[in-house]
Amino acid sequence: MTCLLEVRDLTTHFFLRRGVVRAVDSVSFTVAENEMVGLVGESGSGKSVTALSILRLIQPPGRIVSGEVHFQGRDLLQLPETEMNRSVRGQAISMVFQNPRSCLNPVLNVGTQISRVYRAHRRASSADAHLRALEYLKLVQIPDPDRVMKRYPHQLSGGMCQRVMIAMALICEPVLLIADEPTTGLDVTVQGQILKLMRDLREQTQAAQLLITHDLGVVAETCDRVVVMYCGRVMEVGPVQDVFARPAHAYTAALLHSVPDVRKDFRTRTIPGSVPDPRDPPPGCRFHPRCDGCTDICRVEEPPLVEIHPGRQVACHRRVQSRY
Amino acid sequence: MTEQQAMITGMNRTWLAQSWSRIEYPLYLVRRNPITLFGFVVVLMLVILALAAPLIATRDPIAVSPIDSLEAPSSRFLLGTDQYGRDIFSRIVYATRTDLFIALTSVGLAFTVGTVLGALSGYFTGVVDILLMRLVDVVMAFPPFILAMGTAAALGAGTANIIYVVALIQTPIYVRLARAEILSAKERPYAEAAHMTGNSDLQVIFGHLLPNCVPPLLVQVAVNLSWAILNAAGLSFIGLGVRPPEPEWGSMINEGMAFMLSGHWWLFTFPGLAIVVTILAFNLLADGLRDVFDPRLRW
Amino acid sequence: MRFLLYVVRRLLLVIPTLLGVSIVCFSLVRVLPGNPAYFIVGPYATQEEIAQVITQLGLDRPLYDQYLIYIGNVLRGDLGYAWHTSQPVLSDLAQRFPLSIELSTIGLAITLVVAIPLGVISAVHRGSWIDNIARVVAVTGVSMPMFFSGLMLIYFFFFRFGWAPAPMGVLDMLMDPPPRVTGMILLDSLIAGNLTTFRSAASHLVLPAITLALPMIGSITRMTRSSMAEVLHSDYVRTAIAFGLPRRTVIYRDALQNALLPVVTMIGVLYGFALGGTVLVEMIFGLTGMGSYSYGSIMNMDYAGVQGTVLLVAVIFVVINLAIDVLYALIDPRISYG
Repeated sequence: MTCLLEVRDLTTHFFLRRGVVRAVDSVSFTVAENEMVGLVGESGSGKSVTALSILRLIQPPGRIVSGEVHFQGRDLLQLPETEMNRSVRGQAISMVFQNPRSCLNPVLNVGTQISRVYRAHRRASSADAHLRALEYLKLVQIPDPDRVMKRYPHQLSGGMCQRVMIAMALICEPVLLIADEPTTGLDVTVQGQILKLMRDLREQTQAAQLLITHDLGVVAETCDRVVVMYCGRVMEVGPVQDVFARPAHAYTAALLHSVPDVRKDFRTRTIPGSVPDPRDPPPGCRFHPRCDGCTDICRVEEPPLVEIHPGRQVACHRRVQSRY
Repeated sequence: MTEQQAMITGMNRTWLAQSWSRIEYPLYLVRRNPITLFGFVVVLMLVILALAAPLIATRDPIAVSPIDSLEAPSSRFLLGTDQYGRDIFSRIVYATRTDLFIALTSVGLAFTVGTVLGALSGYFTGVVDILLMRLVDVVMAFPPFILAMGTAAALGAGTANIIYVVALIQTPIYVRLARAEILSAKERPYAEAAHMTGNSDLQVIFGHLLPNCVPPLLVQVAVNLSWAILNAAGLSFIGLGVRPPEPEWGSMINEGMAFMLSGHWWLFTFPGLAIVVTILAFNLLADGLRDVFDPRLRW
Repeated sequence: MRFLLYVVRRLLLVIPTLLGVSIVCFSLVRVLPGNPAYFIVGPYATQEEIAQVITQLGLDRPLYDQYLIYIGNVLRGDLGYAWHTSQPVLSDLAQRFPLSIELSTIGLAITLVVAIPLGVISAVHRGSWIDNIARVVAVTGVSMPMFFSGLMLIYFFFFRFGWAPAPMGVLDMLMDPPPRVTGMILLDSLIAGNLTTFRSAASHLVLPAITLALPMIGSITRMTRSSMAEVLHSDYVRTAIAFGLPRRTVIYRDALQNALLPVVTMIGVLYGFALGGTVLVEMIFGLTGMGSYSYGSIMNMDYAGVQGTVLLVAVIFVVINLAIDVLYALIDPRISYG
């Protein structure tokens, strides 16, 4: 499978009065064509900022400091803004966000909002755009699409709003869909529906998907590969089955271990300590204060992301295999 | 107060209340925003001016002196004299007293009455709440200055009446604000906790809920201080305010108006500038306060 | 359908408000110490006239009856008799209120035309030189009392530079007014096709309108600026950008449309402010509108005039606010299609 998106050493910092927040520090990973990659991590791990950086949606006081994002033969970070708007955003790469209702313009109806996206990238009459919007509402499995076209966001449920946003994202047939916590905040049953929808869409549209979430279960069910992030850095990369069965990084292992297991004793085993202050991450490996396998080198030197098998990378001095 | 009640009261103290005990907090405020510092300093100077008026003014503000009438600003009369030969500088200094006094008392009155009524109304709701809200609607159905004008005309001129009138037109704002704040505050868990540990309703409202709603009320007070001076001066300008010969900026401008087109500009200009500086200072202070409590709105 | 329900509900709310307004106006004259009759007929009335007024207004009857008589009169168009103009209050007001409305509207129009673009540009280009200028303009506008800025404008533009006409009336002296259609001089001039009177009226109304506008510009600029800044950081604006919508579309369709909603509600409040301000502005610029009429009534202690003006202005204000609320419901789908 050919590589569609290559993120290399992406670094995004937020320059606040109180200090510099190193939200994303030298993050690298790839997404292949038609692949579903899960970007996983706790709140504050930098996963959302990474996604926003890919589409250059970072606003001051944040700034993409360095790195490269290769996509379709170009480095997205070097493109002029107009070109980014014209050919990339909403067109080749689309993004959907969490809290879908607040992501839709409250004073425009659904039909107008979807058509606008289409007409921004294609020459189409409003009638044509309207038809196409209707088509895509059907694609995202919204019942009674004719009526929904005339509705306003506040009249729709969270799940419906998310489907509308997905329709807006897909209407120009992107090759990569980035979904930032698309199911967070929705009811559990609705979550399941949206995830199933995204799986179906992947088959229908053949677009690759980058799913950002903190929910390991979702990743396990839907993704092909997973990228684990912690405190602004990538900790582990690999096929989902492999990483979840034989985690190589202590953090991944601890994360998996913390999920309550119905078959065992259903206890939550939390990771001791707390996420470090992103303005002042610990020296050496960022996870070392909370890692129970921490050695001297871990405290001093930041481990590089190395490939231990083809397709399998980890940033850990001890490269633990299956501790648990 | 039981230990539990004390603990909950302690927990409910806002970050604001906790901070005042530190000396760093006011300095931090000032460092963040020098414009606010400017406003604060000017207000302070005005207060000093008002309190020390007899020491700063060079002459008696109401003493007439026909020989000296309509003198331009000079070394003898810093800001010139008016048609009766009264020293304008001294009059402005004494007027600072009058206007600041009117502003502070009317805002104090409106704030106290309005906040208490609004808080009680929001907490207990029911028929009284509905009636109070209709009453507020009626008062706010009048353009503020028109209501002030009508009421002042009815009550007659005089400092006390002006204070009541200016307080009247502001009170609805505090009622609505306090009510809105209490309505949302009473749903919070800490309100329920305070209630369950044995505090009476009044204790809950005034000891727990209201202290946490202080920030927006404080900003409103600062805004209303400048508004009060505007209205008081406006009323005096049309003759409904402070009775002559007591000096007041608005009435001084009215008197000065007649001599403007004969070239005696100092009669109306200096009192006007005094008003502008004062209102500007209060507005900058209000901006600074708003800054502190909601930095998103910062200019 | 929901929209109609909203309008009806809103209309119903107006009734108790107007009732309250009438009670307040009624009490304005009753508050005075002494016999209200003296204040209503003026100092030059004879004993018979006073006795007549006492029976007419039922001043010898209990307060409740007096109020009913008052309301009855008002609804029949009888607002009393202004002894200082020797005319019924209603005809005085009918003659004068179009000018005040005209002045307030022009002031408001100037405000919106200046303040909204200024606020938008400030929000979009935070920290730029325009932003700083806008801040200064806004803060000074809000800090200047209208009676002072009006006088300053006259002093400089009439007295010193001679650019503005004398602050006396709305037309040049010896000029005949156009035939009265609406009572608003600019409109009437246009209707009559008389450009000379139009120009003269415009030149007389410029400075008073600017005086009214200055404080309003200050507050609207700030409000637009903060509303716009908040909206520009909203989720839906970020989403719109994420979908590659052109910057211009995002600013106008997504940001501006939403940011201006709170400004629409402010227009009602501003009208009230402007109507109140006409008292000062008309007096300074020598215009014959409702504002100067109330000033004249106060000066002459003609309480019928004061009472009538306060009532009329309050009613106009209530109607304007109602219209604004309905307009707002039309443009915000969250209200009409809840």
